[in-house]
Amino acid sequence: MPNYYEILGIPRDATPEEIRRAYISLVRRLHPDRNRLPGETELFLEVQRAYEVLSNAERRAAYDATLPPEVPSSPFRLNTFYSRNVLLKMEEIQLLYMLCELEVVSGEKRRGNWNISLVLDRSTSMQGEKLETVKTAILEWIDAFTPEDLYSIVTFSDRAEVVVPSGLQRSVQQTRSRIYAIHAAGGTEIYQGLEAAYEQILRSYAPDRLNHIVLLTDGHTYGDEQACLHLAERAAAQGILISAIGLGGDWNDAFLDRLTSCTGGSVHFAASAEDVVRLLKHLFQQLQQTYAEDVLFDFTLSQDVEISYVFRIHPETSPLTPESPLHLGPLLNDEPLSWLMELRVKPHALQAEMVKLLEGALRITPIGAYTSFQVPLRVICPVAQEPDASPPPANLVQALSRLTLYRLQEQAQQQAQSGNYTHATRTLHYLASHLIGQGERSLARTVLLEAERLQREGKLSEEGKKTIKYGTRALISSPTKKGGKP
Amino acid sequence: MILCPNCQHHNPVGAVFCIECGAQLVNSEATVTQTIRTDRIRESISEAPEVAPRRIVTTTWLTLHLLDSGHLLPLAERSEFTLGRIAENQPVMPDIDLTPYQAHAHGVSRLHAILRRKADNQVTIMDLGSSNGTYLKGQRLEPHREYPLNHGDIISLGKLRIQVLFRGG
Repeated sequence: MPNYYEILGIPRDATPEEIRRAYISLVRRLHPDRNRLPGETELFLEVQRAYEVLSNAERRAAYDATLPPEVPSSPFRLNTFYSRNVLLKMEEIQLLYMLCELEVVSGEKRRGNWNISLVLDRSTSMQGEKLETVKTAILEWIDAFTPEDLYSIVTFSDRAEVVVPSGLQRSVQQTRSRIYAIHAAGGTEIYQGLEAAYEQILRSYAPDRLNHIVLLTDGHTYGDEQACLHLAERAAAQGILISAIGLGGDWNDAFLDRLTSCTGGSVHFAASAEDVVRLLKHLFQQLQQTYAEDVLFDFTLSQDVEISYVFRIHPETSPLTPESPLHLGPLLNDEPLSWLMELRVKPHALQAEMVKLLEGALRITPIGAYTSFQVPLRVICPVAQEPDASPPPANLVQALSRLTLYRLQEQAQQQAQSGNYTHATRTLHYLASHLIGQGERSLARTVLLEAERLQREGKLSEEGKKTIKYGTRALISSPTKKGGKP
Repeated sequence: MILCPNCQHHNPVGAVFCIECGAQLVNSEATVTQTIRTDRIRESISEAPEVAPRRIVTTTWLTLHLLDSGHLLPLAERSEFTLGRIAENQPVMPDIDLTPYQAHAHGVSRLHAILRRKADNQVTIMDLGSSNGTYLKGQRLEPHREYPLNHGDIISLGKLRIQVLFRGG
């Protein structure tokens, strides 16, 4: 029996609409009045027969039952690298690092339609040149949208205003003048802005769209952090991503990291208003390249095993919240999604010769599709008496070496915060010498200046903290700098 | 537990980098930093000077004259050299290891100073925040600032005195 799905060139799980489209396009080409090549009329008849069966739910089900079970060909490739090949039989906690790389290897590229809400902080601190530059950036940004893309713009201070409501934007002139009219006044209450943006997203919400909130702020929010995080969790459950751009030195990076990472989004640091232009462009390109908006990793850990750290390496470096489901964030068409995990294994877990540390699957929903793919991911490791002498893979060591710098910085900030200045200074010095070694002289200089400041004033500068944090974070995904060590 | 050779911190088994100081604990296929071995450079001038004297003269842009021991270290090929001493398993290695010249006793830091040749052939020195400082003609240099050098200047890394000789010396 011929395979009707192959004749129509569609997957086994094609929707009725996909079947109809495939049929129509084939008929246009193969119809006896139009076709040119010998044999095409026979093909036309087969297409007719295939469509007769597949277009009817009952006939399709009966036909499906006659087919052999499908061997799914996954359009993804998942590579995993481990820091060691064996675990040691011993009475101590041990670490295992794991680097995963997921990429799209086949199938068409996706460019889904968007449903975006931009949330702009218009508190007093934004006044003047800063706000004007940001406005221009936003105007440029929305000019690049296609007519099918939905967006809304919300501003907030102590309360929120919907400047441009969600929907297809018909009057460009009106939109522009509304954006021009934004002025700065009032405090910073992020929850107000987020909630209004969330409502706007819901107005045009569709699971097959790219639903995304972009928050732009330059200040601290006070007292409503919990409410924001709850909202983010709700958004995450509906597949709505939150990204943030922090402008200048005076915003709460730890809070924004948590807010975005629980949805799979990430935080970007803009040192100046001009930087916002670049970051918005960057976000735009990422959106255009998005194949799946948020890859989820559902997993269960074996007893006495825990994930102590998850860090996304590419496309956006960011710490992730190590809970199941893990929001890994967007998968792009042409670039791998890679992340690094640190597993802590307690002695109790090592009862057999082979131990399963983790079992789970990646859930990938391509944009515009209603169904998702599952890619199993499981970690099983042999237990031995003797350590394995082979060195860990170079790409894992490379990623870890950069991540180590980020973590040193994290440590120094914690030590400084708890008043342990001597220790923090020492950690900063370690960090600086690593940075010099990698050719990152200007970042190293910032680190040393901050170490001096810590000695002198007993604290780090806000600006310096962010430069170091996002500077070391950016290093993680960048290639080794030229002009450093040869 | 793994003891970090650099800072003596106890790391859990399986750690690849020390969580305290960031030193690499496990050998890998990828070397993170490279070091130029000074003993070979020394050989090339003291033990076998006639092998390729011409090439040395044409590529050398600066020679370090160690005043206490009388050794000459020609610097060539690259336009930047970090000076310091190698302690066991330290994370960042200097390009020029001054250990053979009693660097430790003279108070040279592990990463002490950097020498650079600019596009206009000007040569500069910058202290990298060393503990005992870098001196030029008796003046202590401000760390992380570049100072121009002239032929014949005497610099001190801690107490280690070095005369800089332009070109092949």
